[in-house]
Amino acid sequence: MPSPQARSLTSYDHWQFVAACALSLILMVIDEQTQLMMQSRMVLSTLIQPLEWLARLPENWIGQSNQALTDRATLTAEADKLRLQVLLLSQQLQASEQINQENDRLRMLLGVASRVNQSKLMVGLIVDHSPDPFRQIVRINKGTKDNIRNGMPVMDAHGLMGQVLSVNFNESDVLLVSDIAMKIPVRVVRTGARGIVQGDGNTELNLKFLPTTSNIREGDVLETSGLDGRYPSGIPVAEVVNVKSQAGSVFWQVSAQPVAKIGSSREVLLLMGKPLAVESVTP
Amino acid sequence: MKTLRWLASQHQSHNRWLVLMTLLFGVLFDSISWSSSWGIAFPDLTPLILLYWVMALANSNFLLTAFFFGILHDVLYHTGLGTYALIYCLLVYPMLHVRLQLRNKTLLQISLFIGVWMLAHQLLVWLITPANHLAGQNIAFWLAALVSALLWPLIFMILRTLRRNAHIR
Repeated sequence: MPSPQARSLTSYDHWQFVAACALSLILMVIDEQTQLMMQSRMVLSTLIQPLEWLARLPENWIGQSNQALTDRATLTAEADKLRLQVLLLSQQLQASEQINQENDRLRMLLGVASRVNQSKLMVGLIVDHSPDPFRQIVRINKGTKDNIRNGMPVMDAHGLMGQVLSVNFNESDVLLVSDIAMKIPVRVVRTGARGIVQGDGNTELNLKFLPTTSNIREGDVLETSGLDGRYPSGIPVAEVVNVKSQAGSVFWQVSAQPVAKIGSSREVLLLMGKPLAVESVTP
Repeated sequence: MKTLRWLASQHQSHNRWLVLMTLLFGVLFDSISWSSSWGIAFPDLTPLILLYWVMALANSNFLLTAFFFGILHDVLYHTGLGTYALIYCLLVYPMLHVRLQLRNKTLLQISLFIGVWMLAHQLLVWLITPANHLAGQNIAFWLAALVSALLWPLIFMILRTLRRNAHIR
């Protein structure tokens, strides 16, 4: 490796190293402790969007060529299956419309406003997932141009999926409930006992701080308690799959499975309520 | 003579774009999603390309480049801003001290050295980024250092050919 101007290190190099490290540390602390870097992150994220689009190309090409190779029989079978699904779904839709009307009448009687106003919902589409296999982050096709803001709760047809982590002009990143950084205050639907659900970084959730004096069992459904003011209460979050007690511990060790199909859902619902803070969500 | 020197310097600075392009390619490659968790055994290309240029161009210190590409990596991977900037600077700085000695070593020796360097990289990533504490439990995460050593001769050959063709010094 020839280089005619090879030189040894000078004090300028040392100072540059110290300055770069100091600046990195300052940025890390500001980003971790405050919301000041959110705007810069949004701008940088928008700037590198073409780069990410380029990175997605090989994956998209492979997907498209796979699709092109799908044979006719498979397509016919799929079409038949979809026709059947349309019939079933339209029947279910009619039933759910009746239930909605009944619900609205009951709510009016009780004088309680709808918890999730239909006019404040937006449908987004999952377009990508995080390149890091140990983070549970997906990207959706809605950004600041659609009035998406950090901290907005995201649901699928089954339950809570996560929360908007960062937004750029066209797209947003959603931190899923199963991410290790995600903590959601919940209550057990059957008993009303409160706890905090935390992702395990894979596909499951752990229910924390539920005292062993509380009544909980497999199959119990956990829903948002609404105590943090971030999520409306009553959104299903997870279903308990395993309850263990640990010797010496005053809390149950509870594993739960998210009710949202976080691995397979493509369409998501964004709850467009008032601006929400995201202090507890750190990448 | 002065004009010739000016032209030479312009030519050189023009070719420095190639260094940035290779690093950009590294960032682009790193952002490709791997479907299997074994995908993390494939090391990040950006630090490897960065280390090559640090070794090859002994007239620059590459600390600002490391900082800039670290920030780019942070935005791409949703890590705290400055995290990878710090990791890359910590990776490049000791290399600046040993790069002149490394020139006298064989490619195999340098590959082993790169393996150790990338092990330090993985260790820093594991220690500094909380989300990767989980990744550290996976053996594939640490295997990335070994894969780096195995990949190094190929990366070295490609980048050296590019450097020689572009007359980067």
